[in-house]
Amino acid sequence: MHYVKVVLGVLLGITVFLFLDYALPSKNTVRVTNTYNRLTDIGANSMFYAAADTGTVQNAQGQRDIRFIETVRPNGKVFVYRNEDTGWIWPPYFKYDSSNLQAEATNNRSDSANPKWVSVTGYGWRIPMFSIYPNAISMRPVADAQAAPLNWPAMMILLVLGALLALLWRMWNQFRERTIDPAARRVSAAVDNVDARADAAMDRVGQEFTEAREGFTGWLDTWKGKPRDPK
Amino acid sequence: MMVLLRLVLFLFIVEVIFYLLLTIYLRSTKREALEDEWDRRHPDRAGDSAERSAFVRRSMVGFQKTLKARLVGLVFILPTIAIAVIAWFVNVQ
Repeated sequence: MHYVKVVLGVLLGITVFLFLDYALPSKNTVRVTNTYNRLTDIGANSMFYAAADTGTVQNAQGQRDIRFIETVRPNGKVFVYRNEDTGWIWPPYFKYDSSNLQAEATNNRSDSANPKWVSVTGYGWRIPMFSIYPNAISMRPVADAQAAPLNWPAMMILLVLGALLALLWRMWNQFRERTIDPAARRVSAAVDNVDARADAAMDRVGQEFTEAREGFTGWLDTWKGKPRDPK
Repeated sequence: MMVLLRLVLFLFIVEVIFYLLLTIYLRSTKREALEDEWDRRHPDRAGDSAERSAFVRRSMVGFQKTLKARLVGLVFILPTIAIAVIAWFVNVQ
């Protein structure tokens, strides 16, 4: 049982970490090299694309016209963002300006000879095997490739989540202290009460049985000429 | 438009849940503080009793009107403002 709990706890921790790693905003300093849109097949990986009701249009074959932003990181490796509206519920970025963002990205295009670095805020993972792209949320120009702006939105979200967790924990403790524990005490007192009464009844039965037996053996003994035990 | 309405409805339901939870929590802590207060004032009659319950009930009258209880209403305002601010900063350059 202990190991089951440990395994479940570790799995929960990994799930929470992956969930936050995917959904929280992250900032990358990159150089935009190209922007385009492309008819994209969306199949089993649809979970990693915008929801169907966020202004996206799909054709009969289930393909979606999606905007992409190709970038190069300071270390020379490439990184591709998709640029989709997030809609109004999940993930809660409330982004509906992907056209503007695409225009901004196009405006910031540069080549390696004359680099123009931008800090792109986005969320999600790049998993080439499943054609999964992170979604770009916003971008702003930075001075050079070494610029690493503070990712304060993610910090604030984590702080708020932590405060919420602490609040729920305190609420639960208060509920347990004031509602569950007294109820448990009442139940256990009632059980004790029933138990004590059952014990008393058993005692009385036992006592009466002993008395009856003593009376009977006393009566038998009178046959052997013994005097009855005066009780 | 329907999507926005769905968000509003969803947000409202979550806010109502948190409002109720916070109200219950706050009242519970207040009642506990009042019980402790009674025990401190009457060390000879400490512990659960009809008198103490009556005292707590009397003292809880008007609690919903206090500033502390009214501030729970912020649970309807702050998340809504937060969402509006996020939407503003994400979409407006």
